[in-house]
Amino acid sequence: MSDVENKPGAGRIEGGIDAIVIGADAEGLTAAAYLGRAGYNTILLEAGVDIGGAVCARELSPGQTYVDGEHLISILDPAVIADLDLYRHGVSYAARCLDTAYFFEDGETLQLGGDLQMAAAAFDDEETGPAFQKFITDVFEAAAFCRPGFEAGPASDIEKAMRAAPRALAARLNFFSLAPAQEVLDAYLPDGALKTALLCEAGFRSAAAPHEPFSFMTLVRRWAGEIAGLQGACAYPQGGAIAVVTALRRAAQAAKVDIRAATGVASILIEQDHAAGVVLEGGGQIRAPIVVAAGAARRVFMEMIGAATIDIEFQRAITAARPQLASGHLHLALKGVARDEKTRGHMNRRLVYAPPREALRRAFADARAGRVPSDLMIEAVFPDALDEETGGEKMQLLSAIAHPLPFDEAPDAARRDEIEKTILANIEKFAPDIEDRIKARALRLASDIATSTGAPAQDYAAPPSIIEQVALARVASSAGYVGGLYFCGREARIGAGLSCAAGRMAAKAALFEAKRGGRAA
Amino acid sequence: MTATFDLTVIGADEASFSAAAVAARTGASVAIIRPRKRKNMAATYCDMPNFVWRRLDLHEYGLSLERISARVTLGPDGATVTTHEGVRETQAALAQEGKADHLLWADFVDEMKALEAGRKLRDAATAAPKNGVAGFSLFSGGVRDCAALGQATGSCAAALDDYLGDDALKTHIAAHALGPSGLGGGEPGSALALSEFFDEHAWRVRPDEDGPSLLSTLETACKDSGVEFFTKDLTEIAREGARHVVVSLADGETIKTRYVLFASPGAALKAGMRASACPLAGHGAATAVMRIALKRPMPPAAQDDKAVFQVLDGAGDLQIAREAALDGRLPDNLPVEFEYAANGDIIVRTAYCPAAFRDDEGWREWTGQDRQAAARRMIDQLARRIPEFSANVRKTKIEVIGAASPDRPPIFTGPDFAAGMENVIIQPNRHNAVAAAVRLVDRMLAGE
Repeated sequence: MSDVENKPGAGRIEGGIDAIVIGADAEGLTAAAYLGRAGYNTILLEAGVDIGGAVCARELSPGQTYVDGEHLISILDPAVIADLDLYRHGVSYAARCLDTAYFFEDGETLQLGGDLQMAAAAFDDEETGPAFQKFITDVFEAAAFCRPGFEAGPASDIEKAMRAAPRALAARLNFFSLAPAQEVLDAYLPDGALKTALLCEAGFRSAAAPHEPFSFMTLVRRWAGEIAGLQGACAYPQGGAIAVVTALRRAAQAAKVDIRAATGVASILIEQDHAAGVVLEGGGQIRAPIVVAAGAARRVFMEMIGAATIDIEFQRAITAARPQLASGHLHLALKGVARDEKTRGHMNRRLVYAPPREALRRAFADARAGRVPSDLMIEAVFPDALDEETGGEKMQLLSAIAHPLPFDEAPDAARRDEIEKTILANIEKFAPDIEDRIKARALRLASDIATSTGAPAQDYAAPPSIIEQVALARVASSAGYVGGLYFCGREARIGAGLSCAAGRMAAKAALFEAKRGGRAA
Repeated sequence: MTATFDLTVIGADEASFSAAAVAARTGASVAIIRPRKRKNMAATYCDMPNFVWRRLDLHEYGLSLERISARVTLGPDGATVTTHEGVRETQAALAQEGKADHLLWADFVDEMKALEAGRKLRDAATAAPKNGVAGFSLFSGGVRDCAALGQATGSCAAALDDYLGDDALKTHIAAHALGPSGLGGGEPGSALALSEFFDEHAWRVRPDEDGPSLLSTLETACKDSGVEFFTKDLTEIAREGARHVVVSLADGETIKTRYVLFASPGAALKAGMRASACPLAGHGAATAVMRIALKRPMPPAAQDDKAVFQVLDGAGDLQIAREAALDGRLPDNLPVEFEYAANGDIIVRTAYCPAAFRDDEGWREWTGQDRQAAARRMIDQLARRIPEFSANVRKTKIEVIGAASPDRPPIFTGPDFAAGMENVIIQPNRHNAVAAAVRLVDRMLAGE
């Protein structure tokens, strides 16, 4: 298919390729699939043996696997699903619109339907109900408005849209984007369980604490997501989040993308300020006028291209981050089925433990200071209860994400033990006596996921405030002004969770430029 | 009776008076509402940019101002760090103190000034009329602007680590830059304070010892420009129609106005308004200002009675103090700022006090005992740096600004957008409050 030439002394040089995508995580697969569908002869290169990046299946105990990386989807780009026909390639929802059960320190619980607008309309409290409805209406409107901004592609013209916003919406957007989540919630809602729950949602998986500036946007970003047409919802795909990656892979293969695992890239060829292909770790070269990189910005720009070629401001922006916080994933294989009614009643929901406001603030302060906080936010699901196909009778899986934890490059055994115990203690708050039923466990910290994917640990740290992410994504997606190079790595993504928007935008930018260049020629 | 004005300024500080006088001189009808009870606790220094000086013709009032001589941090073990307005002067001072970073100083100051994105962010936060969308011009501009924005929304500590190596110098800059807002160095958005601190208009001035005070001069300038003063307490601010706001006063009098400006969050909090959404507003903290009269004169710290001093052991203490304040406690190692008044009194200030206290039973208000404890701690902090200080204190007077009154911490938020109060503007704590307030009213009045 592709032309293979042998030049003396230059190793193997592969030509006739239109586009190279480096990194086969969800964003890389997305970019490759888009390029392939546009008729470009595309090669997707992955240094590791697994396709899918952080999201992959791992064995927890014999016969039982868990999905690493993500356990739910909430901000998956609907355009990617539609454009790449992901439903046809195998994505389906085991639970399309998950209800959430919130648990609080005092033993109270609160249930919210997965359709938040309906949940607000049905909220059974004279004071909180109308306030919640107003809150949902305002935040959903703002979130939908901001959506193009969260895609952060170079072609996005959020500025124009923002300038055209009606005055009241603009004032609200201004407030939402700058204010701490705590302030916005205080402005809308009376004190109570609902406020505590939403405060936790706003701080979850972010490095911006809910009492600190810019933190409300974390919630706005999440609620800009849309699952099967339902804004702000969470879904559990059949087979777990890995099903999305599998479908993306199928979409890429259907678009005739040549996927090559275990093929590391040593450097990106730059000729006259324009990407010209890649040099492989094995020594060969692949030449192509379009290179899309999905790895970490530091690796792509500092190692694959080299500091000498890259603008100093750009270098500063992409190397400045020093993460302090991270989330931890804990997967538990449980013996038998839960005996207590409380747990059983909630197993087909998304379960969230929401610590009180003060505890949450202290937790962020502790984690930032490098201590393991005693109170953690927990988001847990019982995949087997959600997904009947994989559910076992005798054994059950619980997947939980805990936040905020201190970010460690390489935690030692004692630290891991402390983290695991703390997460379990917080899970016990809503699933009592769970510890007795644990048969196998897997703690996955940022450093563990990094070891599996070969990326630096800080790639899996908690992302900073959304404003900082949007600013950084703008910088990163400029790809250091190297023509023909497009970036959809971690720094180009906005929000925590599987999104694929950066991959789509990188591919779109590449196609747009290629067409423009073609016409000019 | 209802009087009608274009602009109503609420507050009694230099920024309020400057903004009112400038607005009145551009032809707007302006009212100032100032509280009935006032204490003369304010610092003697202030920022007074040249353009405001010229627009108000302040030289005609016999006013003469001098720049503060230096910003000094008194570190542990007698170590001091001194910086000046001039870059060369600072470089020389740093070299003398043995700081290797003196070589980088000029570049560092330039870089901080270049954080233009920070200015955009502050302007957006001060939701001015026709400026509601400004928050979203945040992402306009090129890669450089976005990189600066990313930096400005990050933490002060990260920005300092990025440029400087010397810990004492980093502590010095963090203390002086973050001091007015009471922010911790690790908080998102605290880097904003850096660009503001190095802004050309932010260097402080103080009136000549023999001349009239700046505040009284500005008051006279206001009156000469036709500003109407109301020395009354505020009871309510309500919206009327699509374009106006009605301000009710204690005696039942009302003022109908197009815009309301609070030039400082303190003024807004005193009036019961929630403060700005800007990160520099230092949400959740209160500011204590204390005037200390001494028994006998003592030589000024660092032999300089015209400098502004900070007492701080390390930059990390700012974040610890901030967290204690948010936790409802008085920080153990309270960061304090002080200066010498013309009569030899010492004015001490800290923005790291809790807005309310929290004990086993929940949140409670400040009490007289808390005020005493705060005063004691401020004196202790000074005594750690100035020998024989405690024994030399004759009299103290303390005021706490921003203390929460109900049994829970106050809600500090931006203008009440839900009620459409976008024409009520609250400035956050700023280094260049006068310049910012004047620019703000210029924009407001031009937006008509």
